[in-house]
Amino acid sequence: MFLRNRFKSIYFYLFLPAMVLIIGSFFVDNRLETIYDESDYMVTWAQPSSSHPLGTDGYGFDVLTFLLIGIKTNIKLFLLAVVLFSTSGLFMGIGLSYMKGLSNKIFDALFNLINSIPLVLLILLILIIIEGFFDSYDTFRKLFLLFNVYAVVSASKLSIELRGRIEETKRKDFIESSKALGLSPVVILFKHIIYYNCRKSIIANTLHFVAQLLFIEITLTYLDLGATGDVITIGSMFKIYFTSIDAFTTLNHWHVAVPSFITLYFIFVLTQSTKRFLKNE
Amino acid sequence: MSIAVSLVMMSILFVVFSSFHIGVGDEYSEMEKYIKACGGVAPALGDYLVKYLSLQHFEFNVEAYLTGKGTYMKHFFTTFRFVLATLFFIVVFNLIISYYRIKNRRKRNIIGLILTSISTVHTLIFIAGMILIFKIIEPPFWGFILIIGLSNSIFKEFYSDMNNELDRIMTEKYVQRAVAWGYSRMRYAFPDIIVSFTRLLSSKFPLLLSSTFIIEHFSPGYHGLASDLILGIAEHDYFLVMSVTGVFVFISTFVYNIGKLPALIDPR
Repeated sequence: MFLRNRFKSIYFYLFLPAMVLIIGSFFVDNRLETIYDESDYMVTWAQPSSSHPLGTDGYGFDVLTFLLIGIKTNIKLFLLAVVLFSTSGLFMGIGLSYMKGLSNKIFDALFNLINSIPLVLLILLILIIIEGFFDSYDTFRKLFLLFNVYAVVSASKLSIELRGRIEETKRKDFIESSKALGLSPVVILFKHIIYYNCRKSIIANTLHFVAQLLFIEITLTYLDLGATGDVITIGSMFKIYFTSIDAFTTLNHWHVAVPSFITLYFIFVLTQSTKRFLKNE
Repeated sequence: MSIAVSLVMMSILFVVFSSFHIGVGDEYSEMEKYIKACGGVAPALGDYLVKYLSLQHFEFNVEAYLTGKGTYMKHFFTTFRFVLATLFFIVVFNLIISYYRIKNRRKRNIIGLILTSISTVHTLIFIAGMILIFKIIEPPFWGFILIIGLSNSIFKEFYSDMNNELDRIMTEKYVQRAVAWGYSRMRYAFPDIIVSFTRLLSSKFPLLLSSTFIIEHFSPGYHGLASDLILGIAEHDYFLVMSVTGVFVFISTFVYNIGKLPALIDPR
């Protein structure tokens, strides 16, 4: 019954290609050599065929392999950052909701200060600090660190929202009833407040954060500060194809638009998911 | 208060960035040279700002500026030109659409809907789309203004915030009472509108600064603050990085405080 309802939903078919791409990326070897192995340098701008399902680009690279490797690297880069964002946001939100007086004001001022820094500038500042302290690290590790640090820093937004929701929920009658029934404060907090009343906003914020990470990664790579060398991400694919985007004079060269469309599609999926989660909030 | 907090944060950043030079070697000697020139004392925030804006070379001398000693000043003006022109574009365009919306309340605001939908696209994708659809590889200055103004949700956010504010102001009891007494609606709503507009514009300022990073990288003809910052990071020139960051923080704080000023007109 549950699955039948899912199959009827238009969102299922909208999200299906994204799921296929993400699952497909796990089966691709993300070493740089894979692209060269899958490529046919004699066949450039090839149209889709059984050997190249998305054709080949101007360099003879297999577009699908390139894309799947990019997605896989991005998942590796973002995975811990997403976990850090949701967990640190959750625990900071809980902490803030129980804080009173001066400490509350200090954290408020600190979070306002962090949130008032322009996004790109904040990312660049974190990048400079990482470049300074971890100069010997390779590009992947530096980017990995950058996204994780950014996750902790930007978790302040989630924590501010959660604080409001927790404080609002704590004033409701059922919390008083739960206390009267003898439930422990931990159960009330995590089950009745966080799980039943805040989980949707945590998931929605996390999805929004993933979209933000995707754009940050693409922007950084475009500015020559992100993925370089053997680190292949969606951003590096975007950058490589962006330089030859003026080759899109005829529809035969549609391959150069693939990274743009894929990015738009992923952002659309994430935005729609966020909207669906917040539908009844 | 915000200026004080920004200055404290800047000082912390200076300490962090200055520490990178310990053990790095002679490769990144720009800041070390400057520290030595200052007698071994780390330069203060004011020194960075003055040095960056080349005011000590500039000496309010037009000739020196024109001969290239005020290069960074030129970069500062390039970024500022982008941001101010985009703000002007957003305000004028939004006012036209809002006027149309108020005049045709019963019709659906199709133009507003289309523009806000387009506005959700990221600046980079927007540029890619412009090249793909219109084949514009080297847009003119106003083309960049259009890109910054419409992309990255800036237009959408400003449009929705401005309409909410306008609706709130027009339905305020204070304004409605004035209309009931036969006075002009605009005369009584105007101070509130100015306060809201300035606050909204100052809040969008950092977003516009962020968009200039992509624009300046896309078009090498426009060399501004963002290009300086990226160059500083790429070449490990922390002196340049700190100077530009200082200017960014200074501008953001300055505009934030300007946004508060019109509230003095109308204390409500």
